[in-house]
Amino acid sequence: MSGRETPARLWRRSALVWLALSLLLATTLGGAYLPIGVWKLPLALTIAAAKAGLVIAIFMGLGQAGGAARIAGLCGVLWVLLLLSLSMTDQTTRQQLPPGFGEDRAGQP
Amino acid sequence: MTEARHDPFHDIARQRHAAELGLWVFLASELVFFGGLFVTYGLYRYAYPSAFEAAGAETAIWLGTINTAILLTSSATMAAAVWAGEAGHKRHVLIGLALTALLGLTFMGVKGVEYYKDISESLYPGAADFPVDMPGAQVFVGLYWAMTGVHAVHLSIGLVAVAITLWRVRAERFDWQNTALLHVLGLYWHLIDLIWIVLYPLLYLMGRSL
Repeated sequence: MSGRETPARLWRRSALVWLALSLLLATTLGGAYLPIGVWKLPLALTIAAAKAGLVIAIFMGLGQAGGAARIAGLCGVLWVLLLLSLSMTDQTTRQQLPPGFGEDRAGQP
Repeated sequence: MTEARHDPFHDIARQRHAAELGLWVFLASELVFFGGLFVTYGLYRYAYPSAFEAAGAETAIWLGTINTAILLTSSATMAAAVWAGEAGHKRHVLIGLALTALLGLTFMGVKGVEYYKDISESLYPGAADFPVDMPGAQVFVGLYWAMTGVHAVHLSIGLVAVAITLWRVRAERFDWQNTALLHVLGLYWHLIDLIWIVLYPLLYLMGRSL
């Protein structure tokens, strides 16, 4: 922020973001009761991402932060995405061995 | 008022950049720390989808929603305090910080009521009369306690930091206008809010129906 911003202006800016966040909160709460089955989690997480985006972009001012600070923040997100995607890839694609597999080898050297 | 610039920085702009970068690195490490809990949630949810829905419906959705609204509001008051600091409006910095501290305390109060309710309803892992008789349900509740507990620890640290900063700004103990301290404090507080924004749908919105 450059120059002297008046208190009324800065409180109004913060109130506008707060209003948007509150509307998103009401939407996600309503969405939790919709009969949309497996789409509930993706919907809730999409709204959460929108809320997080508002907080990061405006309240935390990531756009105005220096290049190194932005890279540091994005690295955090990248590692979490790697952690999640690699773990879930393993979990969802691992071959389940049939019951009794390898039992015929029991007792052999 | 003490000198704003500290060694080894040649000028205040560099010092601000260093403080800001340092805090973003810390926030990234915090994200990965909570990432471990998110992955645990993901893996167990994949393994026990219906137990997670059933146990998720047992959490106190209204208390969770009220607390989400409180925390979102506290982020707005914290942002106003930081912006007022950059513009040099001391009174508004103090108002913003005081409101943030008050909202943070209210969050902890509501959380305390919720924990009391959870315990009286046997909603904790290993409870003799645990309400959901499905494999995996106790894992969800274990994650609920771990995630909200670790979050509450972060919020308590934030509360102490906000209270100390409020006192120091009021007493002109440091150059709140030129140093990055208010900004850095704001970043930490917003991180607490961000984590809760993700925890809320995972812990409170699952398994609901009219």
